[in-house]
Amino acid sequence: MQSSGSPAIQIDGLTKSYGTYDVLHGLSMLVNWGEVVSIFGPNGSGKSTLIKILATLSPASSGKIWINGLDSQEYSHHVRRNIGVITHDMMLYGHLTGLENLLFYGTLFHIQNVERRIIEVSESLNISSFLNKRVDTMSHGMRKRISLARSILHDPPILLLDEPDAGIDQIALDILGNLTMSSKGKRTIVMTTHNIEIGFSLSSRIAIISNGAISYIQESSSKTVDEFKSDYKSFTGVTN
Amino acid sequence: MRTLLKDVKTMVWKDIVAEARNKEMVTSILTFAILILVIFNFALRLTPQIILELAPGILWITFIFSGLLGLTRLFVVEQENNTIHGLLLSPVSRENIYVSKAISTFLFMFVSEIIVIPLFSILFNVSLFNLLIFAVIILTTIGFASIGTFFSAIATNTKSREIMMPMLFVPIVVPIIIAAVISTGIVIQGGGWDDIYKWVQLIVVFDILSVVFSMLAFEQTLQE
Repeated sequence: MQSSGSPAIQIDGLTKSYGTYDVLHGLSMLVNWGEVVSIFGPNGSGKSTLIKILATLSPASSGKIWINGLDSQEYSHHVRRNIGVITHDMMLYGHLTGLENLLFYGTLFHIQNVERRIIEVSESLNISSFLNKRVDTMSHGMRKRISLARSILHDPPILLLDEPDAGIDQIALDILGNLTMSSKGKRTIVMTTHNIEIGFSLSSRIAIISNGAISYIQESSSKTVDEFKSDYKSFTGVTN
Repeated sequence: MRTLLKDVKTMVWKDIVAEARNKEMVTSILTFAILILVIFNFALRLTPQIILELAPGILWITFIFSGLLGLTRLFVVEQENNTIHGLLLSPVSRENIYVSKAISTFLFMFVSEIIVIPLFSILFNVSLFNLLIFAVIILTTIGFASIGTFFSAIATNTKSREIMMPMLFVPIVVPIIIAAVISTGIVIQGGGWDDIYKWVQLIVVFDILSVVFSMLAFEQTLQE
């Protein structure tokens, strides 16, 4: 799936407007294969909008995005095979069991031997014990883990996570951390979060989005958490 | 073609399983349909002479208004937990999503209509057990489901979908309602295929146009 030569994600002059209001304004960014990039920013800074556009859920007003070398607007079908997405919404059918949800999405992605793949993912995320429960009877943390399984079922080389740590229990948080750490070098992850400690510890690069553009991007190894918190305050004007 | 069939089969299966468990759509269509029939039965003093004149109109008023109730809720299910985004994030084409939703809608409406028909026959003492009437019901329901699915996707994104849906849907389906009422009336009064085939042709043309138009335009309804 990974094409040689092209970066995982390339964003060039991305603008997204709602009426006369520009949420994103000329945002450019390059994410290399195997990187984990955390994007921080205050509420309303455009983090979720950026993830939505990268996920092909929302069209850009102007600018270009290439995912795995593919123009994301022109080849959105192919791009969707390359990405796994987690947002605030679980995207799970409450009246179906966890297994039925995964079978449904797995079949839509035309996964070969989908049952075996579900077993693999279930074991890695430790969800086998409640896979046959209906989603509407599961706890929030359980749903989040099923949603995580849904997003990696087709083994995408790129993961887009929009505040994946929001409102989840410690077990789900640990699983998310393990997934991110084990993906380092293998899977490219772009994650938005408000939690500086978590985002900082999981990422190879950290970025701040403000005034609709990436105003700061650094290797996480070049900073301590406290130094980054101080940078965050000076770039956004708010403490996290 | 195989991909289309597999995708559509998967999405229709999901809708059927979800409906079998929550019974929201069929139950709401059926309850409303039965209420309309009972009200008509009490409100109108129907003599055997005028019943044959009014029966087709009562039948199709029942089908269209109860069907509207189901259509309004069609995409609401996909908004809970934002599963519509799950569908849009899959590599399935938007046309396939439309086709599967239209087929599911047709199935739920048709099942409700099949249950309503015997009740109608008992309450109004008019037999609808005729292959030609079934053909008209199937073809008209295809028209309702195909254009109704399209409008339901539009109305779901509006604040007042309960008002928007009938305002969009009813004026457009007027031609097939007229065709369905007239052809049902002709068959009830003893007419045959030769008497209704022009009306059936109109319904078939409407079905084809509404399916083609909806498939082409459906992607726009899902855009932000």
